[in-house]
Amino acid sequence: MTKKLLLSVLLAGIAFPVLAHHSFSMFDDKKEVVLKGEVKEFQWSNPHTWIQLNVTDASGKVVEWSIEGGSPNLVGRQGWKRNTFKPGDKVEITVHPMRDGQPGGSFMRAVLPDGRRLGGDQIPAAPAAAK
Amino acid sequence: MRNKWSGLLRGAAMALLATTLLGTAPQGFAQVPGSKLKEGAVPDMSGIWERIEGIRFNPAGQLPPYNAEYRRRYDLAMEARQRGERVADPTSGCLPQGMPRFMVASYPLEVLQTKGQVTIIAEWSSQVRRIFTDGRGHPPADEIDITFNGHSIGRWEGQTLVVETVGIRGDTSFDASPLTHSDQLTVSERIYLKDPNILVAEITVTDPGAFTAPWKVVRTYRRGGPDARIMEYVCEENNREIFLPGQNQPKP
Repeated sequence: MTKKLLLSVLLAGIAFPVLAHHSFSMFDDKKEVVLKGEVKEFQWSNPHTWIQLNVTDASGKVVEWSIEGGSPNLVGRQGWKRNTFKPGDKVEITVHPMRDGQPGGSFMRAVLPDGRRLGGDQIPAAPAAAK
Repeated sequence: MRNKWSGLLRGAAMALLATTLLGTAPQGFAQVPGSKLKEGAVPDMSGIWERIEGIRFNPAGQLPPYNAEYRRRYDLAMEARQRGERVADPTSGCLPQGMPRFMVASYPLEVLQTKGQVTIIAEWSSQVRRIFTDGRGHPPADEIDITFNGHSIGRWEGQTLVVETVGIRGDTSFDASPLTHSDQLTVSERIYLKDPNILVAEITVTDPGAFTAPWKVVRTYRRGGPDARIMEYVCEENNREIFLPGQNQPKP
């Protein structure tokens, strides 16, 4: 199980930069930042999906992060849906942050409100109750 | 409820219209004139095809047989990337992939065969290649429109579709790497079914401006399953990575 998770994490790190239609060099692929926040908006759009995440920092200030994910044509075939992230969802998302310090990053993996984990090209089937 | 009924009414009206136009009750699209090839005349490659290899143009990995100048350009761009500079992939600003990258099939391809034409639709940005199989030639070299996908003519050699493509722009890409080519690039393809569910494209790229010899690449595609479908992909929808061709190129 751990191995499988690790593999999906590794795949996550590889799959997005390779399949993206642009260079991901603005993201620092050697750094990981774990963000806990509330989804403001999920843009199910091309050429990339974007999660706008409100994160409250240590001083209580809310900072809106822009998190770039794979195209719906890519992640849609891996089980993501238009409503995988909903406004108001409290989620944990791990990103490769922007090199220039802007509040943005490329999606690596996430923990959804129901505990499901999303990692690159793997998403476990939604529990029946969630449908 | 109202929608459901208006849908049914519209359906009935269209069926009636089709019956009137064709003179007989429609039994599927096969009756539309010109839309179907004679059974068995040539192999039927129609369908949705998904790439088997990765998204590098050459699955075998080697670089093209570059001349010194184009090799230098490639090395400079790679060094710039290593330094973390943003070297633009032409598609970053949503320009089409064009030929030959079209055949990488980043997302699936759909092949349609009609009388006198084989059409390939790429899901990535809804690009379309029209391969004319009606016997026409290319337009004269000094008149031809220079386009992303070029001008393609095809002929059947036994079970193989042989395609020649000319009139390709000098700035189309091979893949997301900094491989470039000149405006003298032409593409020859031999496309055939290895078995009913595997399509093969042997792609020979010739470029006297950039290569010292033709570059042959073989790509294969798997027939999409029963659930395969072509999705919409409009790159301009929400592209936050706007940069124009020529921008963000490595400094010489």
